[in-house]
Amino acid sequence: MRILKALVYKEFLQIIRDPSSILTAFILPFILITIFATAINLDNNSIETGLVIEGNRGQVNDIISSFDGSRFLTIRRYDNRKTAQEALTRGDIRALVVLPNDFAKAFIGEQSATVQVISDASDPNIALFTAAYVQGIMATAQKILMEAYGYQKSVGIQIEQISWYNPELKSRYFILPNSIAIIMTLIGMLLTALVIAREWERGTMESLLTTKATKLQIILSKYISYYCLAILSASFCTFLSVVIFGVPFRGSLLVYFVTSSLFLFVSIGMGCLISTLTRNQFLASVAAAMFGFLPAVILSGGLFEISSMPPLIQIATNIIPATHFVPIIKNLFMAGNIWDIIFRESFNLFIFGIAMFALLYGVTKERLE
Amino acid sequence: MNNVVEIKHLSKIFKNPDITAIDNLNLTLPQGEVIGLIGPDGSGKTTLIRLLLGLLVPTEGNISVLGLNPTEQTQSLHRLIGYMPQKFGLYEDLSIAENMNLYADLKELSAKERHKQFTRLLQFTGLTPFIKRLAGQLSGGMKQKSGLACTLLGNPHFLLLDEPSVGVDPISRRELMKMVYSLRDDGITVLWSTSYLDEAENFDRVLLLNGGKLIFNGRPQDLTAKISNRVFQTKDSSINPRCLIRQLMKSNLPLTDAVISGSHVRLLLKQNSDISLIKFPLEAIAPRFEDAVIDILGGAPMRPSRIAKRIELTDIPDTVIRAEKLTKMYGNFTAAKNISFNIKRGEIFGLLGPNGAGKSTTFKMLCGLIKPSSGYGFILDTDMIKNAASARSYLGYMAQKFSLFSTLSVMQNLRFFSGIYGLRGKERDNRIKQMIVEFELKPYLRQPAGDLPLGFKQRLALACAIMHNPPILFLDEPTSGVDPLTRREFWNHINSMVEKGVTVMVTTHFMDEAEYCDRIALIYQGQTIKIGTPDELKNHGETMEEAFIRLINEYKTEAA
Repeated sequence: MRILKALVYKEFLQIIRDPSSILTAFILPFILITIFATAINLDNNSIETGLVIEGNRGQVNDIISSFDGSRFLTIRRYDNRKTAQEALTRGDIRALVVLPNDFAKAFIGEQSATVQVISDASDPNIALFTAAYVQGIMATAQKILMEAYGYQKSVGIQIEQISWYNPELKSRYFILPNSIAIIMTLIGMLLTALVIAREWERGTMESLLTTKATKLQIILSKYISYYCLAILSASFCTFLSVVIFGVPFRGSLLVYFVTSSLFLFVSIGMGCLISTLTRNQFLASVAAAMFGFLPAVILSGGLFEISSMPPLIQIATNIIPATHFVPIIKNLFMAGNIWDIIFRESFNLFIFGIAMFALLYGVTKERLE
Repeated sequence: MNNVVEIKHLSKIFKNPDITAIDNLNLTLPQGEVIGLIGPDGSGKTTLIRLLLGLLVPTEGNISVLGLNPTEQTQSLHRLIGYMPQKFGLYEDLSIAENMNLYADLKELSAKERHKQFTRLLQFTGLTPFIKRLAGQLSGGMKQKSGLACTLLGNPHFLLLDEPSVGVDPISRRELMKMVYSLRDDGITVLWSTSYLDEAENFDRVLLLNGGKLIFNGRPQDLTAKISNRVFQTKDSSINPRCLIRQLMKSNLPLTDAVISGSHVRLLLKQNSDISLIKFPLEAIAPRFEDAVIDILGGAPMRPSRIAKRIELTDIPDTVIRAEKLTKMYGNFTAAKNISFNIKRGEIFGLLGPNGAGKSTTFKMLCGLIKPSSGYGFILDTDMIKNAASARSYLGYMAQKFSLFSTLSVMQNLRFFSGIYGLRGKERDNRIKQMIVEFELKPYLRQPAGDLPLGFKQRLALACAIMHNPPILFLDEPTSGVDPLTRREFWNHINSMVEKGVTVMVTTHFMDEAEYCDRIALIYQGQTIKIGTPDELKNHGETMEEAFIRLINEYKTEAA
């Protein structure tokens, strides 16, 4: 215990005195969060949208005015589906909304109806957003109609779906929590990827190996000290997102803390593993970026929807730890505690963490060969 | 149990690539001696130490250290030994006190014991005033002492020091040696590996390894005695020693070694050879341990270097390099103060001094890598400050540790360096071809530079530095940590170039190297405290190291 304490104390001193670890833990996340929050903006200011109304009854005008009033969509009217589709093909419009014949009836609850949203899916976001905006507009229109005409119920128009989590449809709200997951991967791995390699490069590992310190103690000292630094860094990111960039947080902070810790347990394990295998700081940092950061950005579902990837890749995303943390953090921020997701993914992270630790313990040598 | 180490039929073979690092070694070491472990680079010194510590596992044979088996009883053994690895094993961003506390905890010293040992060790090493300093900011000598203090925590019975004096100035080396001897008087056994042979001369016992085999185990004096009556020095100092050596190398005289010692040449005759074959006046001198080691290792390469064959220099003025009151301040700290000297054409000029004395600063000001705070530097009458780029084109520069690209092949290194020196097209191809032929690099062309034997690394680095036929060569610590045979080979090349009129400026903290210089500037605390020929610096009979220490002490007394 005394040896472990001494080693952890040593790590803390090294962290405090090494400006690059503070840089990595706080300045880098600050820059990344700011970039994710401001530079990466998946919101489209206004999507050119065609509107075709197949049947026409009085109330429809109210709906049209709702469309026209939207600041997200710029509406162009078309007389029939055919001309509108041609316009979509030409690229004059990016999306097309078709209100069917019996559409107005659905509003007053007489029957169900399907609103078609056809969009230019070369940019998947446009499809996603248009559908969401249309739903939002419907909801507003319906509310107005119901108030104006005193209808009690409506049938058949599914409104409340995506807008649940992100009613304002600000991409920042879903990008920032996901990017915290990515940044935590980066911090956990990058910081630790350097530390064991550094001991080898500077020849201090050889000294440690001839003291009473066991390999378990050496490994634990790295985990403990860098966990503390990384959790501070994660808190800092969360603070930035919630307080500075105004992203709502709806779940339990305790759950957030526990699951984040679990995720850092995995990331730090990966970092240490890379560091131990490479024994070279430069190689280790490149490996951490290649095997940690990039997969977390591309494949974790944090920025790019997993469901829109090819099936084989979808399966492959499961081996990336961040894939299991993104759903947790996404829900904690936008929806609240969704227990089945939390339990399932926490369990997965736990398995990952234990596997990393076991692997690390296995490859760490008490001798030089 | 009076033997600290007992080794029987020990072999260690590394895989990929297959290297027999230790080859059927038998050894017993008695308690209470200071034992030097010496041998050329790659002879197995570090491997042997690591095997003794249980950090490596023997391929064959048995080891017993303090009666314990290092492989099976590693933990119990580590309780009894102290180990200082190369680079001292200190955490650079921790202070001396923090380093010591860490190692005290790692060795589980009780609070009372810790206090007692700290007081004793800090007093012993003289580090008390510096305990709050970060280890990374210490000089080589102080790092070495702090490393030793950490190693001595827990009162080890057996101390293993791996190259403790690399990068440490002679004064600190002597202090360390003194400390180690006082430890021996307390009954501690010390194994000290080194590539400095002047250091090994004073050990109680030396172990000489070559190719993983133990070729000598005994008192250094006994080895030196084997060559008594075979070491001579030229009497006449009017013959240029470089010329003489070149002639000797072309001759068929029975010599094992010939080195420059100031204005004289030291000769080591082959065993049972006839001294009357040598026609110029000689005087017999006392053999040194290094002579004996060279002898037992089979002698120095006695053939003339071919690399200077095609060098032709014309239009070079008599004074090639001028430093005029070069001064460099970093804030309040004076790194170099009023440094002035002239270097003549075809001269080897040495900047000698401990680490941190200002050698490298002076050196870098003259290369145009650092801008002086005041003063001037001229290379072939070109102002180094105003026209750094054109002045630099006259220079060949060989940086510390050779600065090759270790993952690039020999050929790729040659192509790269010829490119950055501005060689193009046919001229470039011709120069590269010439370098390959004259440095005999052909068999290694496809090998990564990092995997080359040290001697070849050195050749390649030199080839890269002289590819553009520079009239001036700057060498920064060219042979630090290199064994004596490789060093001789290197100076052989340099001398042949100097013969053709190339001017050489070299920094070194290595006393023997100073002997190869025509003139030396002794630099201490940013100032030149003495400039002169090696003979002028040495009083008669003194070694260069003794002269160095005496001059620095004189300077200190004057300053005080």
